[in-house]
Amino acid sequence: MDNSLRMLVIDDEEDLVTALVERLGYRGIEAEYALDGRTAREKLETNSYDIVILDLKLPGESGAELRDSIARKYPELPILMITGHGAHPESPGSPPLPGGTVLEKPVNLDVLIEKAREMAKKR
Amino acid sequence: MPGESAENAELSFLGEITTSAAHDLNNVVSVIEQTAGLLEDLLLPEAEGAAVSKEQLENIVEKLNRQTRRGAAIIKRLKNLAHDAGEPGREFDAAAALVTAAALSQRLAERRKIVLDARLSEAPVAVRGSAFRFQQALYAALRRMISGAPEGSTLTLRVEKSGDGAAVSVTGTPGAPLEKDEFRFP
Repeated sequence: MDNSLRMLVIDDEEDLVTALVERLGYRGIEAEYALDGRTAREKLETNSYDIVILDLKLPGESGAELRDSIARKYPELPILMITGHGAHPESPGSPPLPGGTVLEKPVNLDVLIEKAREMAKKR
Repeated sequence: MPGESAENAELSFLGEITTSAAHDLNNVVSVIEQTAGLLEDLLLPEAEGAAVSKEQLENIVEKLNRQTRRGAAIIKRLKNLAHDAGEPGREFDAAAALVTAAALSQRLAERRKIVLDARLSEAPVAVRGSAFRFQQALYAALRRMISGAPEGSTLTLRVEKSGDGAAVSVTGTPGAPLEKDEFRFP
């Protein structure tokens, strides 16, 4: 069975995302990161991923806006949202998220991987 | 906000500041958790084949130190604000309070990629009154300015002595819908 997973992690916390990507690499996951929406779009244009992990709070364009934009352009690509905002993850006016696609920070790495694999498998 | 009572405005200010600080502290904890996890990964028996380099360890220590300093600064700002709320009539340095208010508003600014340029003046600007209310007024002014400023612009905050109080100005991009905001305190 092919157990490989290619992941794009989008989060503006550089110290967090670099540690996360390195740890994912030790678990056999090909992970890359982007610190903002512009870099994320460039990476999505040039590389192929099985799943996107996206922080809801980004500087400038919000994570919810970026999620909608990625979902429009890559409708088959699963997007797993992460948030530090607990019960209020969405910005006002944003459409509701499909159930079970938001993880709360601090994120447990094993839970993140399990959820990501589950979502990627459903593609 | 128009029509809002003073008490509600105070509660709303406190709510926004603590939400923002909680979010920032959550990020600090998240970084520390993942960085500690990375160190654990590197120390696992199966990782022994790939020796941990001195550079990797130095990077990890640097990250942990950086996040510890960041967390300590957030806590210090919250503690100062709490102390200020309990001491409404003392003399305070409005220049230092301006820098603190700018730091407390940082998250609002970052969301729109706006830089807040607040520097300590050469001499303290001694004012008698509530440092808490001063910061609340400045936060409200910054909130207005940030929402009206073009993304990626810089807001310059200055305070100077004016009679018995202080005069504060927040200047943004020339031609922007909200170009400048000024208020006197008290």
